[in-house]
Amino acid sequence: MLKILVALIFIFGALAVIYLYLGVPNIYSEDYSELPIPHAFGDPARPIPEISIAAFYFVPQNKTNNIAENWKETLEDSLAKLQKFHSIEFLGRSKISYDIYDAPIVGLRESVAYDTNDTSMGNAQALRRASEEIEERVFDKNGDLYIPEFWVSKKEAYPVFAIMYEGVGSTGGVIYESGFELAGDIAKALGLPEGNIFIVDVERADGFFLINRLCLTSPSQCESGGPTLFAHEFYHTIGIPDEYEGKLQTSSDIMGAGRFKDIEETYLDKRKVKKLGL
Amino acid sequence: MSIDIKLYLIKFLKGSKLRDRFMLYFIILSVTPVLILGGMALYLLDLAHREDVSRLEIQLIDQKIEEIEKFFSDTLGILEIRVDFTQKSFIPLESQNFILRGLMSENPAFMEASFMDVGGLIVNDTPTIAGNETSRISRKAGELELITDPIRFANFSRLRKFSEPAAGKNFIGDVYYTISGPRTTLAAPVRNGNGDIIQVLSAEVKLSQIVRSIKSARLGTSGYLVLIDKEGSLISHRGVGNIDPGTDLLGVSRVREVLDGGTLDALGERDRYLSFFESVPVVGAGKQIPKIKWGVFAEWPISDADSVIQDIRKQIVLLVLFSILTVLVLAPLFVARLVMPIRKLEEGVSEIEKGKFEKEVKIDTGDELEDLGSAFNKMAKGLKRLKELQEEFVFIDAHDLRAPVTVIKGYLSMVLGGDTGPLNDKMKDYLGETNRANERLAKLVEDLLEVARSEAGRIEVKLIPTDIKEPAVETVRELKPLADEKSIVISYIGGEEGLPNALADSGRFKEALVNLVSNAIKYTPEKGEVKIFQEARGGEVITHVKDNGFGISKEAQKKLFEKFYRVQTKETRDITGTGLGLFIVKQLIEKMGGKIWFESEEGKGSTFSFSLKIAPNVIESDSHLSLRAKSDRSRTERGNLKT
Repeated sequence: MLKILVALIFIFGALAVIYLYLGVPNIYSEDYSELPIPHAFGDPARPIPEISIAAFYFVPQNKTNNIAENWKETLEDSLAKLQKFHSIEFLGRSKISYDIYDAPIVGLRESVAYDTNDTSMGNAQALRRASEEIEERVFDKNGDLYIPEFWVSKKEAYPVFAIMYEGVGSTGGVIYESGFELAGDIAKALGLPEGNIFIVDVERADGFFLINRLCLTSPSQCESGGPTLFAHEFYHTIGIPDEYEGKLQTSSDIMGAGRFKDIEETYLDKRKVKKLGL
Repeated sequence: MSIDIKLYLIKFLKGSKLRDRFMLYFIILSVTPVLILGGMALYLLDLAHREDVSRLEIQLIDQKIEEIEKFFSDTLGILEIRVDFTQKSFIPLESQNFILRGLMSENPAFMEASFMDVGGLIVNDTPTIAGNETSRISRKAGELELITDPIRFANFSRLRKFSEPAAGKNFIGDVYYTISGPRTTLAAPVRNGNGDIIQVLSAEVKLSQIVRSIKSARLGTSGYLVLIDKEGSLISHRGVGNIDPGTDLLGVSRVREVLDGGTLDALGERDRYLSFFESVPVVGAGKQIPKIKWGVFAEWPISDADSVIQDIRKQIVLLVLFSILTVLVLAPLFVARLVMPIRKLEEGVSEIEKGKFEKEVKIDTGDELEDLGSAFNKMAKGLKRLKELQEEFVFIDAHDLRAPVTVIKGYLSMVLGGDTGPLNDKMKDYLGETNRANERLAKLVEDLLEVARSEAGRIEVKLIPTDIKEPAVETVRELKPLADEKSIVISYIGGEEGLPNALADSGRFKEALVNLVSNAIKYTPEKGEVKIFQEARGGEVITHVKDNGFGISKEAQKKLFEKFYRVQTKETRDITGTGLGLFIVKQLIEKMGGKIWFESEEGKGSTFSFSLKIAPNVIESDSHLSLRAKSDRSRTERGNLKT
C-alpha cells in the first residue's frame, strides 16, 4: 500500500511538473533603466523636468500708443504652442507651465534707454534692462506692480522670464550666478565669446528671453516669427545655441533653418536632445 | 452499508501484498505511457505553436519592411530627377517652381521641397554658391506656399541633406518629431542628360503613412508592431504603454541587437519577455530594415498569443488526469478479479489446515486459475479420504488394542490378587511395574479412542440441565489420594449459593474436570495447593481449577491444546502423559457448547477455566428432554447425528 501511495505521489507530481513546466514559457526580464530626467543644454546640474514661465508684455514709456489690443491672446497662443512643442520634443519628460502678468508693464523709461544700438545680437540690453525693471517692480514687495499671488511657481521648477517687447530685437539666454564681476572673466570661465556675456541683476529667473511683439502679432514682418521664433528664443533660456550664421544653416531644426517653419513642422534635432539628457 | 460491502472494504484496506503488487504494476504500466504521451503532446504542441507564432510575427514584420522600403524607394525615386538637357546648368527657376508644385501636388506626404545649388556654375554671369536654396515650396494649412524671395533662402552646404546628394548619394535623414507627427528629410541629386549632378532636390516628408501602417498591424487581438529608427528612437507603436515617439530605446538590448543587424525570430530563450511598453509578458521578434537600418519589432502578449494553446493544454492535462483517475478506479477492480481466485485458494488451504475438506473452491475465470481451482478441489477430496482412512485406522487400531490391554489388566489383577498362588516380593515388584505400564497403555488407548471419536464426530454428549457442583465434589474426593501422595492440598471451595444448573453432560463434565484436576496435581510440586471453584456469570456457569504449580511459559501456552503437545521443562521432564488430555478436554467442552481458557504465569501457577451455558428455566432439571448438540458437517453427512 505504501508503494502504491508513493507511486501515486510520483504520478501526480509528474503531472504537476508536466502542467507547470512543459510548454510554459520562461519570461525573460530585462532591467530597463529609469527614463532619464532632462536638464539644461550640456548642463546636468540644471534639471528641467518642470519649467515655469512668467510672461510679460513690456512697453517702453514712449511706445504706449503701440500697445497691441490682442497682446494677451498672442502671448497666450505662443506659450500654449511652446508648451505642446516642448512636450513632444522632450518626450513628455519636461513640462512647461506659465503665468501671464495681467497687464502690459509700461517701462519707466523710453525705448532708447532700453534698446541697444546694434540689434544684430537681438537687443540683449533691452532684455537685461526690462528684466531688471520687472523684477524690481513686479516681484519686490515695494514695487509699484507687485502682486503677491502672481507666479507662485514650484520651487523645483526652472524659472524663466518671457518678455514680449514693444520694440525691436529677439534674444534669450541663461542666467548664471557668478563670482566674477567682469564679463570678460565670465566669458573666459565659460569658454564663450565676451560679446555673449551680459551682467544682469535678476534673481527670480534662471533664464530669460525677449521677443519683438511685432514678430508675434505680424510674423511676416520678421525674417522668422510667430510661435516658432518664440520657442526658438525660449530654448536659449535653457542654453541651446543658435545653429546659423547669417544664411548658413548648421541645423535644420528650430535653432537653425527650422525657425522659418511653422511650429507644427519644426523640431529639435537628436544631437541637441541628447545634450539635454534625453 | 451491507455487511458484504463492509467486509470488502475492510479486506481492501487491510490489503495484501499480491494485490498491492498487482495494483502497483497495473498503475505504473497504465499511467506511465499516459504521462509520457501527455508530456510529449504538450511539448510538441508548444513547439509547433512557437513556430507558428514566430512565422506569423516574421511574416508581418517582413510585410512591413517591404512596405517601408517601397515607400522610401518610391519617394526617393520621385526626387531623382534627370533633365533632358546636357549642359551643366541648373534648371530654370520657372521649371524648378513648376516641378516643385507638381511634386507637392502629387505627393501629399511632402511637406516641403526645395532645390539647392551644387555650386561651381555660372548663371547670368554670377557664380552659384553650393548649398544655396534656389527654390522652395511649403505646405501650410493645406495650402502650397512657393518661396521666391532670395532673402528667405538659406544655405545648407554644411548639412548632409545637401552634401551627400551633391556627392551622388541619395540621402535619408533622421526621423524627427513635430507636433504634426514624425518627419524625415529625403534628398537626391538632380542630373542632366549626361548624368552630371546639376542640383540637389530635398523634401521634408511626413511618415504618417508608415506610422499608420505600423499602427494598423495586428497580431491576434492585442499583438502590435514597433518601429524604431536607426538611432534607437521610437517612431511608432500601437502599444498602450505611455511611451512617446522619439523615446530613446537603445538601452533595450533587443533593440540594440536588431539595429546591429541581428534578427530575433521569437524562438530564442529571451524572446518571451516583459515588454518595455506595457510591462506584460510578450513573445517578440525583430528585424532590421536593411536599406535604412531601422528596426521593426513585433510584440504579442503571451496571454493572447497562447490563448488557443492554453485551452488545448488544459484539455490535454485534463484528459491525462481523467485517464489516470480511470486507471486508479479500475485498478482495484481489475486486480480484485485477478487476486480473487488466489484468495479463494488461500481460504481453501486455510480450511484444509483446520481439517475441513468439504468446502469447495469455486473459480470461474475460464483460464488456468479455474483449472488450478479444480485441481485444488480434487486434492482436497483426496486429503479428506486420506484423513478418513487415517482416523478409521487409528480408531480400529485403538479399539483392537483395548481388548488385549483389558485382558492383560484382568489377568495381572488376578495374579497380583493371589489367584495363582503366593508371590514373592520380587515377583510382586515386577508384576506391579507391568501392571502400571499396562495402565498407562490402557490410558493411551482410551485417549486415542477419544481423539479418534472426536475427530470422527463420534463423541456423544447428552446435554441436559445438570447440577455441576456434585461432579466437582466427587472429582475432588476421587483425586484426593493422588494429591495426598504429593502432600498437595486439594479443595473444592464451592461457589455462590444457588449455582444454576448448566446445560451439560454430567459424565463428560466430570471427565473434563478430572482431566484438568489431574493435570493440576501432576504439574504442582509437593505441598502445593489445587482449588476448584465455580461461579455463574453472564448466562454461563464457569468452573475454575487453580493451582500454584509450575505455570506455563508464554511459548508453551500457544500450543497447549494441540494434540500430543507436552510442556517439556526440567520440572515436568519426569511427568508421564500422552499429551492428549487437554485436546480431549477442549473437544468435550466445545461439544457441550462451552469454551475453555486459561491464565498462567511461569513459577506461579495456572488457572484453567471452562464455561457452560446455564440451562434454560423452561427445562426442568429432571426432564428427559435432550438437547441436540451442534453437529459438524461430517456427522451430518454420515447421518450419525445422535448426541
